[in-house]
Amino acid sequence: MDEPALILEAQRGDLDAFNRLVLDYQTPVYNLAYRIMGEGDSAADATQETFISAHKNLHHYRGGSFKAWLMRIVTNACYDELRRRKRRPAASLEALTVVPEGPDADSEASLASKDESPEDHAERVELARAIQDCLNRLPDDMRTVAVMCDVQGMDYAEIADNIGAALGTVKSRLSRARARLRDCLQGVRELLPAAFRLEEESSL
Amino acid sequence: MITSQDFDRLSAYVDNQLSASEKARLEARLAREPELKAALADLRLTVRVLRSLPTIRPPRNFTLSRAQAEAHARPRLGLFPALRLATALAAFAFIAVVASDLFVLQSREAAPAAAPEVALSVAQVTASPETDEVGGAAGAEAQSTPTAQVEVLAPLAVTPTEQTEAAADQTTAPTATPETSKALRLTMTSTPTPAVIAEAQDAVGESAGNSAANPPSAQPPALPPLRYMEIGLAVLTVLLALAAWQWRKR
Repeated sequence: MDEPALILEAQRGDLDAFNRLVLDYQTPVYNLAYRIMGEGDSAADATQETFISAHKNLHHYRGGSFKAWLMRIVTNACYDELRRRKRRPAASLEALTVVPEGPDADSEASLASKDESPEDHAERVELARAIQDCLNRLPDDMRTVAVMCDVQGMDYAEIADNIGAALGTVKSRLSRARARLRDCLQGVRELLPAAFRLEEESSL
Repeated sequence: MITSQDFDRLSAYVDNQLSASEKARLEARLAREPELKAALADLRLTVRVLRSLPTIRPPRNFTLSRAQAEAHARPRLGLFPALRLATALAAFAFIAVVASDLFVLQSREAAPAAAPEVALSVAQVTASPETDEVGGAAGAEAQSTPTAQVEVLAPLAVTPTEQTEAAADQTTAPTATPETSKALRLTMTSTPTPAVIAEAQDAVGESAGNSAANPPSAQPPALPPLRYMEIGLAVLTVLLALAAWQWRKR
């Protein structure tokens, strides 16, 4: 069954059809939530909330990209949670300090390729953590735009639609986020794989 | 020196978001400004590093169970609009009753000042705890000499200013003139007998005309029914608002 048919069935109350859509989109939804929230538990909560909300509001979906619709929902779910954290700063600090440990270290490596050496694997995990750490240091609105554009590969119009901002706002927010990320990533240059370093040298 | 505007342009250039003319201008500068070119290389590397972030496998499936789907499909807010409407109606009724109460009060004040003031002085005295103390002593006298009461009440009603002073004296200075305090005591002790209430009303009516046809002092310790309605509606509004709020929170 193709996507429009699945959506129609789901709108008619077929839970199996809806759950097939969940399986199709849970990875991008979870990944966006993970990069915005900065850790796995909050990302899982936001993802679950997204699909519950999508199911509840399925009758409001009026065509267009289903993925974009879900991305909008998960972005709002993340924003809501970040706002809640701001109101309760103690909980927020706790959540941030927990980040690098535990199952998240594994989740960064969860899609590891089979043929890489243990050293390469460890370096890759460390680099991913360092990048996420730099992302976590950004203000929420900058991080969201940077994640959507540079991690998720969305275009400016999609991002503007997602966060309900003007195209110019997206442009300037992204530029400022990249400037900060560039400065932050200076500290982890030695973690960059050889391919990155070679390209950097050749482009100068 | 790379300005923030330069960096904005480089960022848009990386994403191919510059207009043709902007792009041409920037490329011309890139060809002759090594610093700008280095900044672009730095920016490209940053973007590439970010894009290198791996896709993370979700820790579990997020499919909904039947129970989850049904729990959220149930119209949980069904009662909320009804409660909200009821709250609004109760609040509206409360405002309407308060407004009409204020209107009645205002129209009473607009009428000749004597009537309400006589009523007030009588009400004040009847409500005072002195009633019991004096009741025993003067009550018998008052009841046995009804003509005396009328004599006393009539001048009160005819000269409103005097009687207002008397009321003030009674509350502020206990050493009122014997005449005034006697008059007030007589009025006070006479309240339990309906006949005397009627007389008092008559006296008020004579002085104030028809505007004081129904003075509130006629019902001694009880509040007027309008006040009960106001209190009742206020309590109802608050309760309904709380119920609506609780229901929404669930």
